[in-house]
Amino acid sequence: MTDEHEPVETRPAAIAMLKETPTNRHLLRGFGPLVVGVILFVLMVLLAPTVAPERDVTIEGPAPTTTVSAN
Amino acid sequence: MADVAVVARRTFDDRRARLVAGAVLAYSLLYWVPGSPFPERMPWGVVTQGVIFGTTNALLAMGLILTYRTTRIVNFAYGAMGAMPGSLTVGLFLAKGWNYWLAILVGLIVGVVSGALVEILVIRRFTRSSRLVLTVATIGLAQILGAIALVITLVLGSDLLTGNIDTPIDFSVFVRPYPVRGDHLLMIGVAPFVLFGLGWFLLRTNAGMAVRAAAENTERALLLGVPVRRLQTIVWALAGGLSTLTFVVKAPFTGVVPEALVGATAILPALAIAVIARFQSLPTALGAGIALGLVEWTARWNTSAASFFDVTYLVVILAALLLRRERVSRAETGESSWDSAGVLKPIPDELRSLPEVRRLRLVFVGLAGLLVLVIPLRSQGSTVVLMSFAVVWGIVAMSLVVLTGWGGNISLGQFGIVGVGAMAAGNLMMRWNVDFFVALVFAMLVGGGVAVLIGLPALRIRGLYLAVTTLAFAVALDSYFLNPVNFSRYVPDSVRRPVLWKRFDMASEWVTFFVCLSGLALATIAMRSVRRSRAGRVMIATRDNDRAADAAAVATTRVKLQTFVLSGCLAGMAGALYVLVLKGAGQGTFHPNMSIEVFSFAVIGGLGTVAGALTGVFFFRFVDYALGEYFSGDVAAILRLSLTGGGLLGVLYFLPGGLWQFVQRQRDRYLRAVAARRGILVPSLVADKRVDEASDDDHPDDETALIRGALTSDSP
Repeated sequence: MTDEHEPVETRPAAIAMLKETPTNRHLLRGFGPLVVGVILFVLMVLLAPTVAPERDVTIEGPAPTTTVSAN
Repeated sequence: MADVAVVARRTFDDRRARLVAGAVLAYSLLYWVPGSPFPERMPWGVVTQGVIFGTTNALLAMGLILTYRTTRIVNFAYGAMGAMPGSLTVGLFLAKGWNYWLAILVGLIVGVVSGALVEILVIRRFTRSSRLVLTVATIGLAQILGAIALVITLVLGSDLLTGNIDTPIDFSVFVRPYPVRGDHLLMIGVAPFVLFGLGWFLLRTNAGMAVRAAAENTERALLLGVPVRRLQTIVWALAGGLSTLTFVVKAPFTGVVPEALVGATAILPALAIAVIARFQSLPTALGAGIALGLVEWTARWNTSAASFFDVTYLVVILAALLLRRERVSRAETGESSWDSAGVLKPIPDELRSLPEVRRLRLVFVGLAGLLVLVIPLRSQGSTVVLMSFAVVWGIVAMSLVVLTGWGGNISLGQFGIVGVGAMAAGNLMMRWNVDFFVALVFAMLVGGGVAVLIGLPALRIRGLYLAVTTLAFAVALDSYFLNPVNFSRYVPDSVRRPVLWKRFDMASEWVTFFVCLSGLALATIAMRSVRRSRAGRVMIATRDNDRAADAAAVATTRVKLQTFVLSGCLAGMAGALYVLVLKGAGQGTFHPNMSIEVFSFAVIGGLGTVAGALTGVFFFRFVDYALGEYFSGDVAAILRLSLTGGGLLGVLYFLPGGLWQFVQRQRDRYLRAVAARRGILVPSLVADKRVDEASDDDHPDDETALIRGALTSDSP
């Protein structure tokens, strides 16, 4: 591997070096840790959700009014 | 007569005066047109009330403008400066049976004297401080004056001093639908008198001219022989008198309630007017005051939601700031920052790895960890809830460290953003049973979004306007958005705590506490990383010298906004945790005064570091709890205000880095001893110390020996 910052001899070589876009050697352009964090977060939410337990709510209706008819 | 003709001609020539006259004429003519909405929607009585109360708010705004034009700060103590002598006036009249006019005269004299004393005892002490520090000092001052006002009401019989007050002005005329009393006329009669008086003082007198010169460039005015200090005393005395006058003419309608005495919130309408007038023009302030008064009373007459007007103040302030073009006068440039004397230094590299230093750090960290873990486990559930609240307040304080300590801006409505986060997370959890962590992240995003909305108009121009917009936001959120009358469907009044990872039921106070604590720990780690990154360095650079940062191609406005967004995210996170601990939120949960309290606590602890702000908040939450145990009602309020207000002023003057600076001084003393014992030269421990002219006697022995040792070892 060559050193990118080694001194250049000629003017065209210097210009070419300046024009060259520096390569990003980080994982996912430096967003690696963020992506890993998001994946872990999604896994946490899917596999071990933190939600309130379901509860059964029973609402009593009005008492039935029955009419008894005498035969 | 000739003078009257000249004044009349000049008034007619003035564009604004013609506009007002045209509006009055149009209203009067249209009122009588058949089918006109005015008799129903905007009757004469509503217009009259709007003009009258708008005029009083304009009076308050004029006082704010007056102090701004002399010291270039927004004086948050302005309301309290009048409330203290004003409550004395009302107390003397009602409780002691004094003659009304004599009581007003005494109140005015006390107001003028206290205004002068405030300048001599407090403001003058901060002559060399930055404007940010002086603005914060006025917040402390407001609390102390509020405490004195409460003492006065207590001594004179506080039961008498609430609600409407009957004065001896025996006059009343009915203007449909409201009666206009003599007190109303007194209010409206005072405003033009004050306007002309102030205008004459500033424009026509030598003292007024000198005051304006000193406000433009203090050093130059001093060189030209202007007695700047004496003039400032005069202006603050005038402001004290004016504030008292406003309070006294308003008191027959508003009474003397604690809200009006203490909170910076009481001056919100005046702040809105002053922002419209750009803290510059007194006539514009009068016009804006009347216009806002008209809008307020018309809205009150036509809608049932009176609190709607708090939102209008926010909108008016934001719009006025957005429409404002940056025209910086010489006096506005060089906006200064948080006092650099308060910057706290890390342990020097030379000593960090020494065993005695590492051991001491371990001991302290271990002790703190042990306390945090052991105390909750040995406490009752009700105490643990209080600790959870303290931890959440700690996160809010951390958001202030980012904003004020690193960014050099003030937010007086941080709990407003906390409230938005709480609403967002609370609704998600309550209505859709969304995962707590998703709700937490959503609350952070919402907090950041709100920060953009209320931060952008204020941060694009120089000056500490963020304090004004955030205060307006906090008031609007509490009184309108969290009001169940307006948004009954969106107020998360009952949130069930979830089960953490399907294992730990957060119905247990201990589990909730440790979740909050983990949130605080994560936020601390994240903020430390931010501070050490380029983003953190840019924030500090913008705070310290935004012109130099500008010159170094830093987009300073964007950086300021980023700082506020980061701070808003933290506040949103605190909101999600808050709603979890409280199991709901509603009106009063995020009272605007809480924002001012947390700001004061954090400054006293030390806004330069996370540890300092946390220490301040935890200490004062504990003091608050202890005060609540032993005192109640007004006495507790007086003690609390005196402690925070006095603490704020004391810390700003003696320890600009907060109480944590004291801790660090002891640490540095220990480090110097270690360095001396090991014969290590640590320049950062000795070089930055202020050297008094007295001589070497002021240096501790170890320090002097160190310097001597360094000199001899360097010499050939």
